[in-house]
Amino acid sequence: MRRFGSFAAQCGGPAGLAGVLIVTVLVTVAVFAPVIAPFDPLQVSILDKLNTPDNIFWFGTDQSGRDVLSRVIWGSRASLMVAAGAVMIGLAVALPIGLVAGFYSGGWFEQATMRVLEAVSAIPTLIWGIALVGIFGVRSAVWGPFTITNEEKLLGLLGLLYVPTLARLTYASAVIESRTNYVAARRLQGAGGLRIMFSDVLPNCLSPLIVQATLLLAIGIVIEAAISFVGLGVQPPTPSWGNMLASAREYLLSGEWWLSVFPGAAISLTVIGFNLLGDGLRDRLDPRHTTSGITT
Amino acid sequence: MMFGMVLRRVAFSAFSLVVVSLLLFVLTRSIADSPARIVLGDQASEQQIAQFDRDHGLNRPIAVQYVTWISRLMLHADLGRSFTTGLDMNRQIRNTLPVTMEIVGIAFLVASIVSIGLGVLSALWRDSPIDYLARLLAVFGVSVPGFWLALVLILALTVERDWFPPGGFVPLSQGGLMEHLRSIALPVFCLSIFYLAVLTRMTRSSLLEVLDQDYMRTARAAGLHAGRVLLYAMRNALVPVITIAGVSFGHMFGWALIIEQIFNIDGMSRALLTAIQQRDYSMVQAVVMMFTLVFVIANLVADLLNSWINPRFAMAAS
Amino acid sequence: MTAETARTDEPLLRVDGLHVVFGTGARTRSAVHGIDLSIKPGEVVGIVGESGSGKSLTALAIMELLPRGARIGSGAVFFDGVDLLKLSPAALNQRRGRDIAMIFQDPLTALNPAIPVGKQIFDSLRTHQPQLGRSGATARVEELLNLVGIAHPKERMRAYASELSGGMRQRVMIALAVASGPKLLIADEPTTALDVTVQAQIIAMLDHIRRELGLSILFISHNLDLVAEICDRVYVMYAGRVVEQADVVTLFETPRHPYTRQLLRCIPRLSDSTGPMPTIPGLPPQIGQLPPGCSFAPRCDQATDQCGTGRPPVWREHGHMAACWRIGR
Repeated sequence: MRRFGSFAAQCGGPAGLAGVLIVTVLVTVAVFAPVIAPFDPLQVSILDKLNTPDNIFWFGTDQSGRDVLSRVIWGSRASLMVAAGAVMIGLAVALPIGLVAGFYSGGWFEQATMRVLEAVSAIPTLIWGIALVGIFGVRSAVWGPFTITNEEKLLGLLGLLYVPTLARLTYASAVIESRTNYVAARRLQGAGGLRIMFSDVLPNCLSPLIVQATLLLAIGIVIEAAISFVGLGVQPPTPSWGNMLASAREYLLSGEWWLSVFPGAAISLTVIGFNLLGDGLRDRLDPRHTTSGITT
Repeated sequence: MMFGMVLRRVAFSAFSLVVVSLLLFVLTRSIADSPARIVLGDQASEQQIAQFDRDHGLNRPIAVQYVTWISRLMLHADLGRSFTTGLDMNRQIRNTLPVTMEIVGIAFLVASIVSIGLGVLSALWRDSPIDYLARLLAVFGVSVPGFWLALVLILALTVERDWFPPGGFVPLSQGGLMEHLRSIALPVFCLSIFYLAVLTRMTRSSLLEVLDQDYMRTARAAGLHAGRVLLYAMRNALVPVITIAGVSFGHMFGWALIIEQIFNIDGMSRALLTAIQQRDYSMVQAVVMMFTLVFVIANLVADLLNSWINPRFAMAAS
Repeated sequence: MTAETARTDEPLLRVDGLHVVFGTGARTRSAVHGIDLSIKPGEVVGIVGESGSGKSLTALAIMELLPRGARIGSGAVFFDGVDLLKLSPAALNQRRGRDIAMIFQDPLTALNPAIPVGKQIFDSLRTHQPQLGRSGATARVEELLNLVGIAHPKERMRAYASELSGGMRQRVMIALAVASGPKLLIADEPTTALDVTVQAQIIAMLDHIRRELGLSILFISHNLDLVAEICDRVYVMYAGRVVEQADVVTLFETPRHPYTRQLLRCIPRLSDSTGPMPTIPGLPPQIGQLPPGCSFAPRCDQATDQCGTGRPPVWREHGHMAACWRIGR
């Protein structure tokens, strides 16, 4: 029991613990979707269309007779993939930039990059996301030997939009960490700059980054849903919580509430989970709140 | 000193706009299909395309095109004509912007005023029922996406009951004050709830941190009245709140897009999404530029406001 | 000593059995265990002790400015005959700044960074002396800044705390504290955060102010030298209790408590031979973990078994008091 208590404390209290639980459930559902979902999410069945929730179809069926529960379960994959992929791409680009700028502080790179990044922070993420995806077009793009699906385009774009925030956060830590005595000692030992950056400076910058990444995951879920909602994200028939809400709009006024309530509830629950997790981690890893809670 | 700082901030905002507009311009031009192809179709011949490009100045080097575009925008506030539709973009935006402005403006005011009030109460009466309630509402407000809330409220309040119209924007001139307010009540509510939650939490945590500071103890030791003590605290506590409020204002415009779609309101969202649908990329660029401009200005105003209430912020940031 | 500061027998401040505790219910831990203090009008009284002795908490308790988590367990604080602890918050707030004032250790964090220093003094004046009016208050701010030795007061008024040096900030704090003519000034380690040269200036200035305004001062410090310079009478505190009390000359010449003696031995003197500096071995006990009997016994160089058997008896002689098992034995 005591070990449980200390684990709960590790997560940053009961709220953080709830967050961990919710996120774990989400990831499990997404990974094991083929096993968990009772029906094929793409299976059309005109006979069963627009059933209210009952014993067979727990969440009811949509306008093509597809089981809403299964679609919600499979939809978690799209949301999670976009949100997580975006954060990973963002980190992959932002970390080197922030590290180099912080480590070689005082040089032209630092000045130039940080000014540009600060200028570029003035980009409202959602608008640019929608506009750029819109301009890109929703067809899969062919780029040499690679075919990039729309979801991949979206997560790449989103990831790049996250770069200013993540790079500035990395830089803030890197600048401080690079000035410490042990880094100076490593330099005297003859370790190269690159090596010091990645093996000594980076690990100490991770705390606020982890918190920010978690919060960006939460935001990513909502942004993906919003972009899919206006038809520019995950394309039907692939289920995504966002595009399920989009098709549910027509049936809103005629009373088929289950089409919108369940996907939306899924989004809300997921976002609550990531937010709680992020808050809990923040209490433990970033008590001085250098990370920002909203970056839409 | 103050004036110099203001000038520096404004200059940086302008620099910011230039960088961002350049990025936008280059991205738009490089990703999108050529306007000539879009307008003339896939069957058009090389000569027709070349002619189109010459007519619209699209054959000049991209740097020149950018400078023409940005200078016309900055000096004459003119967005030009769309390549695809030929329509005057200024007029299109002027028709739809006020609607979005009103909704965002009211939502922002409501969110700011209520959240600061709630945050202060929450911090002053820490761990009281008010505090717990406020914190609970804040967690949910932050997590429930506004557009889903909109769908739920439409179901609950317009389908089941008749409290609000399910959609559509009723201008003041058309329906009178009551109808007008009824038509924007739900959109404003759904738009503001997220930022209300965020700002409440921010106010609360910021004020709590300030109240623990040594200088608040000095203020109390000096026997100042409770109201003045709160003011002493707020001049420090409000700084991060105002910063986030400035960022929020800009972001609210983005979310207004989605909310407008749900409620069938003819605001900037319609302009943007129609432009995307019609592949009118010059319009898309224009609209995004507008949104970004609002964002930059909102941040600038927040910075200047902070420098006024807390001059140490001004000194630290410059 | 002028006629205004003639010592009467009635103390200005009398603290009776003050207990300061942390926590509630079963987890209550005492930090200050029933101390008695008194200060006469015009007197400068010092409280000396290591960190954790409870001296700051005592001072904060008098003003009822205890930090979150701490509260007054029991006791009375009589100021001018009135028990402060029984007053309503509003009535107590009236007295703060006007009758009793306090200056703190770190003047940088103790002054509001967002408000010009002159304005902070101005606000205090307007609160306690509204009859001055705006121009009157502004003039008084200038006077006060002059009094504490700040040059160019008209310009300095508009400065922010971060623009002033440490010594100047502390002077501003003092000006703020004495603005409305309090009878008692509590100074909680006012020079600890300052350079040695500045320390001397501030002490001199406190003394000057005291004589100008007829104040009493409660001077809290861990620095015995400073206490020797400015105080008339001294209390020595250890682990939340008073272990010795005497007028300053007697305390320094004939200390009776082993702790006081060992403290005095630790002060380095130019005349000392070179060699290891004397210290008091060990650390003061944590709150709630006091050893049985005399709290100082584990570190005392004169402790015997008897010292662990119970609270030490109090010895008194001509206004000199000490709590020790070993006095006279």
